[in-house]
Amino acid sequence: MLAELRAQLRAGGMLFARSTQRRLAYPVGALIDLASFVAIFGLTLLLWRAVVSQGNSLPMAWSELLRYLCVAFGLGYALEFGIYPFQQSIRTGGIAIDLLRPVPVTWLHLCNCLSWGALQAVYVAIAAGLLWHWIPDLRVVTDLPTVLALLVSLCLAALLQFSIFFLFAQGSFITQFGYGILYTRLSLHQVFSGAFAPVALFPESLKPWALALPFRHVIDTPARIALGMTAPGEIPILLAQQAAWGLGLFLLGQLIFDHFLGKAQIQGG
Amino acid sequence: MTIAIQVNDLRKTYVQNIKAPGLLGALQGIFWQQRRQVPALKGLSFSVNEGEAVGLIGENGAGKSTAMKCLTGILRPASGDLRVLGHEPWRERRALARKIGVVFGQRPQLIWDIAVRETFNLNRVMYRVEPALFAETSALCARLLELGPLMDVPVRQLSLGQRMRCDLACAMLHAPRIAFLDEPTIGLDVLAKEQARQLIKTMRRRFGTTLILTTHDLKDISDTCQRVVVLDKGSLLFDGALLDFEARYAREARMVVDLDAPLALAKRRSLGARLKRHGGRLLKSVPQKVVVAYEKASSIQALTRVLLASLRIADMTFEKTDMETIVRGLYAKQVARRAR
Repeated sequence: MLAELRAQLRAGGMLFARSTQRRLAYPVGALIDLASFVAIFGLTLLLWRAVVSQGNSLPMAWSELLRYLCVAFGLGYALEFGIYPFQQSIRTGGIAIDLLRPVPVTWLHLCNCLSWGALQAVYVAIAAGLLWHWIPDLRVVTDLPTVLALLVSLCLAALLQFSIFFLFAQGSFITQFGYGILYTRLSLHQVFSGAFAPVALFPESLKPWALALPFRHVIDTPARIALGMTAPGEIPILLAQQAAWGLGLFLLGQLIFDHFLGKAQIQGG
Repeated sequence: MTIAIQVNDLRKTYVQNIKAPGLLGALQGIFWQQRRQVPALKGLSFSVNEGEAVGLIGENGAGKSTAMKCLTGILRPASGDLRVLGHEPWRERRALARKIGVVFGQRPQLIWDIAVRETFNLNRVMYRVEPALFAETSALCARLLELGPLMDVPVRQLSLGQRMRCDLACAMLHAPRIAFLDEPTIGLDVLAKEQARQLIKTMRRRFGTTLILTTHDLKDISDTCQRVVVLDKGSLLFDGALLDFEARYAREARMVVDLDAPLALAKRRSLGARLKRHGGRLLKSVPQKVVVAYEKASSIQALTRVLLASLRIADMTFEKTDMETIVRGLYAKQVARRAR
């Protein structure tokens, strides 16, 4: 049992490394990706600045909102990892090759996604380093229990994001064409995750939806923990909610995948 | 002899969407789509012993690749019993995956964006290959398939033939107990095909690898397999030794005669009648070439006498019917039978 686990972890490490190498094989593409991220980030900051300067009263100070947006953007970029190859492989039948490998398909794609996430986190760190002078006062929590809670929250956010991706990508088994489904995921994520606005600023009509759906636990929850914006005693509840969503959707995705595989038609030589 | 593969009454049906033609058809397809069930395998049964080499042949759509996918655990059969190395492939796919090597000619397993060596190393870890075994198999593949200069090149920059050679090597690195090779020589030139066959034969000799091979190049089969399974529209048409297959379906041999001077039309007709009386059949008669088919070796002397008496011969050769011709004839018979 332990030997099996060790072997799977070793395979996972190798898959992680290979996936990182794949991403590094296209440095120009990665640079353009990063530049577009910085541009969207800058534009969003300008928009919010304009909203605040027009005298609109927000339940959050500008400096606090700025800190939140910086962290949310960093998290959003790092966790927007590429499950698209998985969706594409369902559509084209390339999943046959994934199924022939002696590692679970879910594990294979989780390792791929985590490697993308890790690499994108490095890019974010570089971008943050370059933009440090223009983003003053970006202090995050430093006390050990909260830092540990943040690390757990980040891991759970990555698991949850992967589970959401994995579930949505499987829509290709039904539609045979993944884009509609993947764009639905992207839209829901952008509205409800807190990527462009903290959930605390949502209008009352949207708030119940944001609280009921899992998306806020990908960005809003870890961002709030990182910036110390949580109420006393709230962190364990948030972590429990993140874990429940992450593990629940992961298992659901696995069940649905097994179900679809039984009906999959991988035709042609 | 241990049974490696046992297949009993294997069935698989696909559902196909039928699209009406044109823009109107596409619009209509939004609201309503016609579907049809296409039986890909209709009760296939056979078994393969460990160490055997079996060629799976059949026309396009005969069910070869579907059978391969069921055997490797990618597809779940509609019904039937299936055991591969003691595993039920569909349920125990990962356990089986470690013991088999698979090449799908149309779907390479190499990682597109990085060097060939990286996929090799990934497979070493995923398949848990012992270092000594990996050293031996990778050296063998590199030598026989001439992979040396390709190892550090990104896969996307390789030609189709180079990719196929690397893909074949990938499937052999863990010395699988069974190699399922679905069109492994697709896109290869004559020399590379020969190298691929050499690797397959060497792996079988060295590791006793059981081989299941589908191909449209029948030389692959005559070079590497002792047994042939012929599929036709999802059913078994023939299952037996390659020699039996040739004996049963290659009853005719040929004499090819090159002439010194063109043969007149009238003379061609009379020649045909005389050959027929001695057990021959005039297959082809162009002005300076005559091809005569015969079934029994005992007819050779009489037929040769007729030819020598009737024609001014420049050269004469005897040909055994090759696999390609046999299979072509077999397919033609099936098409005619279905038409009736």
